[in-house]
Order: sequence, then C-alpha cells, then structure tokens
Amino acid sequence: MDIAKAFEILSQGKIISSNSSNYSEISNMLLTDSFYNEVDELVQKIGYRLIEEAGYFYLAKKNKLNTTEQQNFIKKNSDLIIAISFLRQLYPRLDRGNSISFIDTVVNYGNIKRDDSSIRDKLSYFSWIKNKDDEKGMMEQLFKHLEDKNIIEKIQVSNTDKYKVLNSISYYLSIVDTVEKGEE
Amino acid sequence: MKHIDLIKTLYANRHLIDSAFNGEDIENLPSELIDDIGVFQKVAKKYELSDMYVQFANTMLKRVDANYTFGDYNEEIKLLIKQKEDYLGTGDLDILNRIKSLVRTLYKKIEQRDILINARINDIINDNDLSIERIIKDAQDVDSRIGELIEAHSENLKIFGKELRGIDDELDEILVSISIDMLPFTNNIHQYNKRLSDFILRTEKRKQENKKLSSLAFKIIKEQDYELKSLLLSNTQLYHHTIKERRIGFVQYLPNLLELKRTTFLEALSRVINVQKVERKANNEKPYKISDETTFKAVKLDNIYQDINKDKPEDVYKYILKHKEIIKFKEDGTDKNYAFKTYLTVVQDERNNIVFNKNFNNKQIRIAKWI
Repeated sequence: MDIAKAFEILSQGKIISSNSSNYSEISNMLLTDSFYNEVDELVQKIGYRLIEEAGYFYLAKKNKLNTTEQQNFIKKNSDLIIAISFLRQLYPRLDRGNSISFIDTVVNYGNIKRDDSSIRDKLSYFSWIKNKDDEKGMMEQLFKHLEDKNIIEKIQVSNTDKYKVLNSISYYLSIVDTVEKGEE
Repeated sequence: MKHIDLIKTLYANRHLIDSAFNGEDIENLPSELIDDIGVFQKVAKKYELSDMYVQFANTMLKRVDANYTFGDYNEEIKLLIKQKEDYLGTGDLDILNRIKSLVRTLYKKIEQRDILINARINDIINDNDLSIERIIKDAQDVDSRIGELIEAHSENLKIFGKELRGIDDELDEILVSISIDMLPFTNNIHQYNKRLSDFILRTEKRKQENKKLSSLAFKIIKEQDYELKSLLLSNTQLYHHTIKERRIGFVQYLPNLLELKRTTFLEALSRVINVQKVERKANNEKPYKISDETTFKAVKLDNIYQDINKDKPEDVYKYILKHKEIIKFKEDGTDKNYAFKTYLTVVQDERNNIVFNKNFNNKQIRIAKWI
C-alpha cells in the first residue's frame, strides 16, 4: 500500500472504516501517523483534507461546493440517513460491528410493516429504486446501496446473506445528532 | 379443550400475548383468553399475563425469569450467627453440623446466583425482540439489584472470613476453602455491575439516536429538512465529500473561471511549488574560448645543410646556434635546445664532412669542423 493507492481509494469518496475487512490494509496504514500525515499533506495541495474520526477516514473538500455538488451532497446524505433509519426501525440496537442477515431483515420488515406501515415510506423514498412493487427486490437494492457506500460489507464474499455494520454508520448518526440537537 | 386447541388459541392471539409479555397494558381482552385457557389473570382491575405462562415462556426461551429475585441471603446469615451463639452456649455438636451444612448450602446458592446473574445479563444484552424501552428498564432493575448484592456479598465474606472462624477446626477448613472459591464471584459481581451500566448507557444512546433518526427521516421524506441542508452546506469542510464518485477513481477537479485567470493560476501554482527566481539579465559569458593562434615552427635541415656547405664553419654548433633556422626559436627560449638537436643530427648524418676537435667550446660541446 503506497500513497498513490491510498489516494485512489479515498478519492472515490469512500469512507474507510477501520473495522472493514475489504479495506483493512489502507485503514491500518492510515492509523500510522506518518502515513496519515503524508497523505493529508498531499491532498491538502489539491484542496482537500484527510479527516479521521471515530474509527473511519474520509476526504473533505476545503472550498465551497458548487450548485451541482451541493445537490449531490445533500441527496447522498439524505438517502443514507433514511436507509439507516430504516435499518434502525428493524433493529433498534443495531450499531457498528454488529452483523445483520438479509433474509432476517426481509422477515423482520414483514412483521414491522403489519404494525407500522410508515416503514414502507422509507423504502419507497429512494429514487434509484424503480420497481416499487417488489419489496424484496427493493431491499436487495437497498443492501447493495449500503454496501456501495461502505456502510455494510459482506462478512464472506461468497455469503450474500450475512453483513457486517461498519464504523462509518457513526458518521451519519453524528450528522443526525447535530441536526436534531435543537429538538431535544 | 384439547392441547391442540390451546395452541391454536394462543396462535390466534399471538400479537396480543406478545404485547402483554413485553409489558404493555392490554384492553378489550377476548373472553377465550380469560375464561377458556387462563393465560391472563385480573390483577387490581387490570389483566396481566398469568405467572404460570410467564414462567413457561421463560423456560422455553431459556431465559432467567425476568422477575427472578437474586437473593442477598440475609436470612441465612442471620441464622448462621444465631446458630453460632447457640453452639458457643451449649457446645451441641448437632448445631455445629447444621452450621457446616448451612455454610455449604449458602456457598452453592451464591455460586448459582452468579450463574443466573450472568445468564440474565446475557439475556438482556442479546435479546433483540424486546422493545428498547423494556430492555433499558430490565437492565436498570438488575443493575440496581446488583448494587445491593455487592454490599450484601461483602457482608457474607465478612461472616465467612471472621465471624464463624475459630469455633471448630473442620469448620475453619471449610470456610477457608469456600473463601478462596468465592474470590471469582466477588470479581464477577463488580464486572456485572460495570457491564450493565455500560450497556444501559449505550442502549439509552441508541434510543435517543433512533428517536432523532426517525424524526429526521420523516422530515426528509416530507421535504422539510431545512436544518439538515443548511448544516451540510455550512460545514463542508467537516463533512465527507468529493466532487463525484468515480468508478475509476481519481478526483477530477474542474477549475472555475476565476481560477483559470492567468494571475490567479500562477499565484495558486506558486503556493504549491517552489519556483526558483530566474535573473532577467542573461549571462553573456560564452561557454567556449577562442583558442590562441598557434604557429608551428620546425627546423628546415635543408637550409642548414645548404648554408653549412657554403660557409664551412670551424665550430658547427656555434654556427647552427646563430643560423636563422634556429634563431626563430629564441623567442620561446628553446633555441639552444633545437640547436643541440640539429647539431647532433648534422654530425650524425654528415659524419664524412666533419672533423672533431679534441677540445670543447665554451658551451661544453665538442667542436666539430665542417670540411
């Protein structure tokens, strides 16, 4: 793992969690101060900052965003907040390091929906889910989305049922916490 | 009613029974659940799940009964003290045997209690079916009971370690052995306390998070998420962002018009790289040097022979030294050198025309006469 490789991964907009198996090499390297500083120094030169928070790393932009960037940024965060809220409605104590099963989630969804139909609104919120009739298909897409955004990852590549919740979930929870502070 | 009918009735009312099991108040209870099978009991004008059913459910679910009270064994301790006094007063060996038996029983109970507390805590922590409120409540109850038990436990240790000592050798032996075996329980009970307190804190935090999450999710869906938007836009320097997520990787930074202006661009560039200042005045020193004109000088022997034949000198060396072919070397200071070389050549080549004198001239060179 050298700086170029680390930069390539971070520049894709990924949040690298230190409990991720897929990115264990880069997260271990970033935990080394000297490597972290080197990468930070490099990205600072092109207007970014390398940020480390509780168990995850990401790149932040120093300058103001333009309108398109703003829209994408808001959409991405809103989508993930809804997705995490959906998972927490099914598993109220779900947190980083826990594992979830896709099949259990589908069953759980069915049970919860009977009592509280509002959970369906969350699932049908996402604009990237086209077919809103097939609920299992929708949940497959939701899991895929969460996996793409590095919030969950397969515990084993061959097993499409068991997923691990990554540290990056805390990033979104902390945004929610900040926004809703005034509501307390 | 047959057993199969009982199962059917339970299944038909499963949500209601489950709510009651989770501690919710139940209203409008179907009569079959009261009259036919007695799953519910009326307690103080309210219907609650019968104790028998709760015990059954917990046994089946391999839980410690949520209402199980972990004993502090104060009664047993009081009894032990009383028996000690009786024995000291009477010396009755039966009382001593009862004390020994009670000490063993008490140890067994404490060991059992340790296992049950552990099981109960595991139940609480791993139970994903109960509502989060119920779980926090359960954890708090057990935690406060453990607090009481920690105090009682240190009392128990004092009785085992001091009060009952010294009345009988065999009893002392039992007490020493039990005290050693109790050490892990002392350690455990403090750990349970810590584990539960941590758990309660974590779960409370998640409960708060869930509340906020569902509130914000609702706002996003209803497009009333102004706070979220303004937070995200005001703090981009803190939040995760790259312009576009690309499958291939690499950030594409598209410069805006201002950045494209030559002066701004140069300024930005000069901040990033360290440019060496170049002197405006060019150095006109040429990197090469015009070589000096060199004249090649040589002795033309033919001229010398010609002249030497004509003049027939008495001393060949002195003649050559003054010959114009040699004089031209005088400015370099090499005339004597060339003269001697020429002299040697001449005397060598023209041996027949030369007669050597026995004497040397004033240059210490043998005088040779041309004939």
